[in-house]
Amino acid sequence: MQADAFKEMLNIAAARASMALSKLIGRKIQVNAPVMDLIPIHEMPGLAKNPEEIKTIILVKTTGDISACLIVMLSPESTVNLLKILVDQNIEHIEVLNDLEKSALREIGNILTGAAISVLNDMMGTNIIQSVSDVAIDMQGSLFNSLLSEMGKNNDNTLEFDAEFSVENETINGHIYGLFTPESTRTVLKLLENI
Amino acid sequence: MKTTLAVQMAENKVAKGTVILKSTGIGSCVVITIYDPVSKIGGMAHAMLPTIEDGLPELKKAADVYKFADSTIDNMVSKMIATGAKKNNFRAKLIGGAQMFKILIDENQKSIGDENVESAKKKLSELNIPIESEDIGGNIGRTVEFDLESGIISVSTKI
Repeated sequence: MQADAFKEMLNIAAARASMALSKLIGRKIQVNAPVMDLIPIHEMPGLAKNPEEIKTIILVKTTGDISACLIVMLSPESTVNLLKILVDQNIEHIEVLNDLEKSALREIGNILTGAAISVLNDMMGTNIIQSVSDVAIDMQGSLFNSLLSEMGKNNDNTLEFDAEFSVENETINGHIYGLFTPESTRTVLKLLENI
Repeated sequence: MKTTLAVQMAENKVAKGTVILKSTGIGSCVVITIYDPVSKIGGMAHAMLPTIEDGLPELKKAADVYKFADSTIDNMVSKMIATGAKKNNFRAKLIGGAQMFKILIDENQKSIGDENVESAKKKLSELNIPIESEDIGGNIGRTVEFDLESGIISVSTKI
């Protein structure tokens, strides 16, 4: 029951986030209902399969009542296509993005997570604060193992949610992941009791 | 025919002869390789955190040994000696310890990558194992292959 309530909240948060992105790029966006799971760290996205695959990761860290990492993950192709809309420029190669293009990607992170977090804060009465966002493009294994080391020094499992999104009529799709520290996992469960 | 053995995060492997040890997608983790060129016994450890001293007591279980740079080196060295390698021949190489994201730490804080490398270096010097070379730091992911027959280590990047 509690899990259902939280899922519903995540649903709304994901919908709100996609609406914000939709406004920004002027395209319709499809977002799947988030899947939430407690997973062993070795099965984290990016570590389990094809660790050498290149991905773009836009990262926002949250502090305050819940500390978590919110991640927007895109393939190189989706990154290039999204940038075409955002900065109206033809990107030749993902390896040579300039500052403007990188900051456009960071802005995507700010907007998506900002919308989602404000929903959660409203509904749960929490005070979750988001950091500035950061973007990195590299082997997904390298990116995720760094997140893991920084996040949870002593956990074997992480609470993860995963919402998949795609932009209508464009080859742009990606995932929004949330990864929670063990303390935050407990906090989330406690908050759910009070709903 | 050479066999490739994958060394995942929080693992170490020791082997001999026609084997390639491989770790893919190294970020802030540190990979430590130790080699005995005489017996051609080599080991590769892929550690994600600096020191087991930081681990909470309740979590100091067997599997945790492999997570930390210092404890996995101890473990790997014992395994290599048990396999027949001579400690006096040992030489080490270090790979990884990058900082993939800037926002994860405060400005004046050391990155976990730096801490991992530092802890590995400290442990190796305690054990008197010389470090032959290193490819560490920066903000780039790495993949490393260690050919135990030749002792050659290849590091590749994708970006």
